Amino acid sequence: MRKGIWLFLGGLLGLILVGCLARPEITPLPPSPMLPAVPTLAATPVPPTETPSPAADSSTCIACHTSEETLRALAVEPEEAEHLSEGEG
Amino acid sequence: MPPVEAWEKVFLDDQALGDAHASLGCIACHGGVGGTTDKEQAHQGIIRDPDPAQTCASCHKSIVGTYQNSLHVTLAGYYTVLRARGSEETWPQLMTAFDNHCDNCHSSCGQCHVSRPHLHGGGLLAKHKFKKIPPMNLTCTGCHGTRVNDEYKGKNQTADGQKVPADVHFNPGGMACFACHTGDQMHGALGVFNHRYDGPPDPSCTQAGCHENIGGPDDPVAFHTKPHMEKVQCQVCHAAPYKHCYNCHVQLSDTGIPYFKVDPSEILFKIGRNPIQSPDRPWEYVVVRHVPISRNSFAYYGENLLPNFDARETWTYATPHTIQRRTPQTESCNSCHGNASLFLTEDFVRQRTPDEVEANRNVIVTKVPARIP
Repeated sequence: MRKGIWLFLGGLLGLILVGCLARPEITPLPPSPMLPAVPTLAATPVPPTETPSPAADSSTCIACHTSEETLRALAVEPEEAEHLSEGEG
Repeated sequence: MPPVEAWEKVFLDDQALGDAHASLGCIACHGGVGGTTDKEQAHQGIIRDPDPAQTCASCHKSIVGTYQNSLHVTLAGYYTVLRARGSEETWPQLMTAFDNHCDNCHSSCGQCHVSRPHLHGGGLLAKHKFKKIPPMNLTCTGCHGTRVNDEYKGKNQTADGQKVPADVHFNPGGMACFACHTGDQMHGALGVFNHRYDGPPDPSCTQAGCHENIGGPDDPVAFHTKPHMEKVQCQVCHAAPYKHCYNCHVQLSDTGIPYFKVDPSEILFKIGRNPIQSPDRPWEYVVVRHVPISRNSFAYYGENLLPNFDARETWTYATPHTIQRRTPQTESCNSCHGNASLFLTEDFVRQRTPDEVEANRNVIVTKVPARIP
């Protein structure tokens, strides 16, 4: 009985060794001709965000931006870029 | 888009100040300095377009979690086509051109829901009221104007003066962009895509609630046969002529201002072979549109920057916004069968875009379906 167990264990070990030896050689793939990766292809996890703090006093911002008269006096159109394009965009 | 004066672009409304968003105050999202009436001082560190991850996400976490997948944010479609046509060696110069000319064409939460796109000078949509559904005329078609807007609203006419009617979904349908292009699509909730035609069609003509019984046993339209439904994209029969653009070239002025030159567009209808045939888009025939690219579009930035130009068609798979129930194609079998003038043939490509024949091998129709006796 004990001889049988030893024979079984010996056979099992042999099988494992043969299995390891027989592993086929892995040929590395040729280098990919891929160009630089497209950015932002996976969802970027959003870090936990605190609710923006309303602590700062916005009353002067609001006073100005709700006054048409003040804005007409102060708002300036950014200098228009030279318009050189031709055809439909 | 209708012009808006500088003061009006930043004019707030009392009603908007009653909005839940306004309870945060201005500085919490836009930065700047409070407690001063001096314009320069007040605007120090001002953030014109607040970072959604730092602001919107505190309440709209799920949307902010996916919106970065949106093609409006990633611009992955541009990268995909440039990668196909460019090369590793030319990539840095292409990216310089991209940064100068293409990188502005993206959106953010604020540039749809609060203001007009910056690309068109910005300006609040409704005095800083947050628009859950952005007004299509000031946002969507502000950018997608040349092709989509003109097609959808029936503003085009063919070379022989024939007016192309508005898409039936617009008139008489009265459907705004958002009726088909859902918030999930806009917010990148449907997955990560490298191009707008990746994955199944979305929107799809036959999706639930739309034309879902087309081709079914109760469909009375004789042309909706199994072979047609399997081989022919819906637009092949139901699109009217649409816009094609040619020879876009970009460069910088002497003072560094980016600009482009595009040849006059053309209103045509062309059927080609499907270059992206897949189980999702199984049709053999689709409508094709010439897109504004040419072999030397980026020549200002270097020689032969698109060495693999022929790797991608220039008459591309298209889904024009000119849908009609009845079109010249639906008049009879032989409106299409045997009618070479509707198809993208090699002769036609040689005549219109002579140096692009090889690029379009995949889409050129070599054998026009035979006339039916």
